[in-house]
Amino acid sequence: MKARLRLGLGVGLGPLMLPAAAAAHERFVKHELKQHLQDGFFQQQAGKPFGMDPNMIQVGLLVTLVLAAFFVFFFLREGLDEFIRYKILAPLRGAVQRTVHNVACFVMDKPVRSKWFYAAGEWSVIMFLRSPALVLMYSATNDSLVMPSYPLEPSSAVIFKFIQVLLAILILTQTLLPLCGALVIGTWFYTFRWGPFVAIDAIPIVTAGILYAMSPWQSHKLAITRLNAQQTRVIRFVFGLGFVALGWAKIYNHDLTVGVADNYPWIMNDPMVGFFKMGTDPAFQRETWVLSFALAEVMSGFMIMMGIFTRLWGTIMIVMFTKLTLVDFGWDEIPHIYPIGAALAVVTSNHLHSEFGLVEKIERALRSDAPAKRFTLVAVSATVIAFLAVMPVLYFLTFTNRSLLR
Amino acid sequence: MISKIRLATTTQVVAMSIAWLGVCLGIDYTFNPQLWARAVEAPSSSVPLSLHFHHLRCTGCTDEIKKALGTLPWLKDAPMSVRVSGQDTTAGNYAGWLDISVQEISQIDFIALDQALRNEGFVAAQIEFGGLRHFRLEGKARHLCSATGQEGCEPLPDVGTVRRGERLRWLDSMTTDATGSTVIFHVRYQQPNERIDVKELFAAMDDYGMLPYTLHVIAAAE
Repeated sequence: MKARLRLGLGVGLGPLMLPAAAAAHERFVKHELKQHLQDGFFQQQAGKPFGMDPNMIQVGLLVTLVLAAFFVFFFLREGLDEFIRYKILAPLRGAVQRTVHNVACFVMDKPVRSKWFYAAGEWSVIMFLRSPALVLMYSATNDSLVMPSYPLEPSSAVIFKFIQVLLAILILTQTLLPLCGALVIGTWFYTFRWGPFVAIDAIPIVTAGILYAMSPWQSHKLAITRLNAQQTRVIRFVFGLGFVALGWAKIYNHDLTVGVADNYPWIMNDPMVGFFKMGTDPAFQRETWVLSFALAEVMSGFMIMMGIFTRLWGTIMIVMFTKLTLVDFGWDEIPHIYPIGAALAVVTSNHLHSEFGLVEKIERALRSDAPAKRFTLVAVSATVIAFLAVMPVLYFLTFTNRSLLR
Repeated sequence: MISKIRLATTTQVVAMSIAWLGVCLGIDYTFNPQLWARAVEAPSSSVPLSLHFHHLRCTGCTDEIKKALGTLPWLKDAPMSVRVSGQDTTAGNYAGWLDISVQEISQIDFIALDQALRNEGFVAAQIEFGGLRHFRLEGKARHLCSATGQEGCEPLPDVGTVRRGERLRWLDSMTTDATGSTVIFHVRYQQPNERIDVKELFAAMDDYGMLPYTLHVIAAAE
């Protein structure tokens, strides 16, 4: 992925190069700030449109545009599917035809009817179901809660360590999974005790908790190898929500974000982030990088949350988190098993749907005899959704007080 | 044989989650009362400092050690007493603890303390310090890779690699300041009777090959 291919490829696969702050457990990932940002960039400024720095508006609108483009492609994917089926697949035969068809179904979030895909899906669910136990055990041996980056107070460490081991045993033996789910979710709420940023960082844990909570009480007698549509939807939504929240948190806590980049400067060369900050004032190079980086995460998270090209973005996440753990940061990032497991389970599910079924339904109705209305509907829907997903929160963040972070 | 699959209801999951949250908070409240204390604790007027020597109770040693420590302005008039406990009480063992009550907390410098003892031919095996709930140790160093970062210069190691077994379990994190000459060791919140052994930090700094020329106790808020 290090090859800088065409811009389009860069836009699509850029997050693979977004290692650091994607899940920067800042206690372990070095984040010492080497040069302060111009804080005013992120705050309300008198005399500027909406009180926002024009560079901020530019980056925000570009992200909105890219997000809208993905929505347009998604809403019109049936047309693309027809083109693939009747123009590309028709002359093909045998394995090649099946492979192209399966790839097309995979990218467009349609059911992939393939034995190996089913097998991969079953394995992914088992992995997602049980691997959190390993991280819990590892955290327990490192005097930490849930993730090695959340150290326990020495006075209560032993109790929480034993609880984590007990929970891990229940998970590994698939015993009373709904109880396990409640313990995981309750523990996640407890992380708010240590501040909202800790809870935001820990959202991927909740995805596992949801799966447990939605499992049968007799889980120890069952082989749980598939996610149903409801489980898939909730896990996908929460998984995406985690990235959206992390992205906004990166703008709010911009010093930490750029501090990671200061220590791992190569991450600033990411093609997608470079695309988003294209044409901005070089005097705000680091500020626009933080903004672009964070909004890239918001964008990818929002698409997963809303079920737009879930498999594409989920696959990108899997590669990104694997690379973070194996290449960039190493052992300290082992909690990435949580999001990798969740992403694998969602990506290999055949129950993927978007949250915009109404738009898709109307688009389908207009497909045969009202092309102008159809394209207008898609364009307006995509633009409105993308704009609302990015710009209002970006605007409100300029009013926030960051003095508590100092 | 399963006759009927039983799923947890939303109410059950919510109730169990809330109950578990309550348990976690209860554990927290019971075992970490310092985290729940709203009132700002009054600063201590004096703090305990205990030095363990293998030859404390040899003839004349106590006086010489006290004399060495008396060269430090912040220990000149500090009350000192010898304490014997544990294995030190066995026959033929002359080891013991020298308990000191230090009033000038801001003047404490562990490097100067160690140096003063070495100048007189003594080395404390342990330097236990406590009495403060929340504090940090701030060292000034001549050679330190600064936060502004130079190429070809090794930054501070991770806390995880510095801790070995029980060593430095009291250390929360390490940072350097913007000047690049100050290293700060953040100490985990301490229980009233807990002590940290500063010699563990000395050993870790020896491993790293770095020795600050001062190591002060900072109890003021950051």
